[in-house]
Amino acid sequence: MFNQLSRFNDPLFSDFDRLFRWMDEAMSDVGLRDLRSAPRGAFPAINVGETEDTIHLYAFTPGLSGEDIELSVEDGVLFIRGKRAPEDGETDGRTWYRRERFAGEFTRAVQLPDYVDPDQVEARLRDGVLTVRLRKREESRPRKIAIKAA
Amino acid sequence: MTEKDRVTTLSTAEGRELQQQGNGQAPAAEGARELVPPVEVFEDHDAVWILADMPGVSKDSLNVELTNQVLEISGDIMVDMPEGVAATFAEIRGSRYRRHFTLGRELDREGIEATIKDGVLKVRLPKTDAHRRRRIEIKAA
Repeated sequence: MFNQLSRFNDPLFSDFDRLFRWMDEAMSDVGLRDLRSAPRGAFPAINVGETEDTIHLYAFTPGLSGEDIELSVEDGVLFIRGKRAPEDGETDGRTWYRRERFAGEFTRAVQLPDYVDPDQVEARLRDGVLTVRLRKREESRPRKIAIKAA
Repeated sequence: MTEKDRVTTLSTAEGRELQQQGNGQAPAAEGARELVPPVEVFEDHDAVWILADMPGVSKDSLNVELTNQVLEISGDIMVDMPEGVAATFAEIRGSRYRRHFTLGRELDREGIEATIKDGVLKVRLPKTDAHRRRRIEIKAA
């Protein structure tokens, strides 16, 4: 029995291990590399975009209404929490062939940069996409500085 | 791998077939990257249902088409993007969803209904009368 187990010490396996570790490092999510970052495929998926004076965060929350989602900013971290119930209705006599859609409770956290004003957050939900608009602080926006002639 | 090998077959309760193509990444169309929406497929007494998560798709950008026995669902993702937005982080990297299903002959082509609400598509594929599960009354002898 132990002979079988020891096979996993084979140098080939450590090569795989090294390869996987390298892939994890090379392909980890850029931009959200902090403690709260979620693995790929986490619900809801999030996209972030930026303009000169705003940050736009899009959370893909299909099937949820405004009451199902709790949005909050705590200490510079934006939290999206909620629960998606499994497909309802009578389930008697139902045969399932595929269940790929997410069901259950979820939390996603996004560390906001310091230059975001936590008091100016707007959120809208349409067609299963939650759009959160955050404003940058006035002093952080790009500014042209006039160069005076000496 | 031939096209046929990539088709996975799901046998339904009564031994019928509901096939589904290309479970992995959809081949990218010209320009736009396509996403495969996660689905739920289930069957009840008189219909087969497909639920698909397609956030960002509205009634206007949704397309449900039946060609021969292949049902294709597709839709463009529309989000309110102000001008001059630069993407800083993206988990959804694509602009549309697409997925095909091969239907068995027992489904009523004319009676297919589709609705979309909050980014979830619901397709009802009714069975033809001959294929409904029927309870047979047992008479006392």
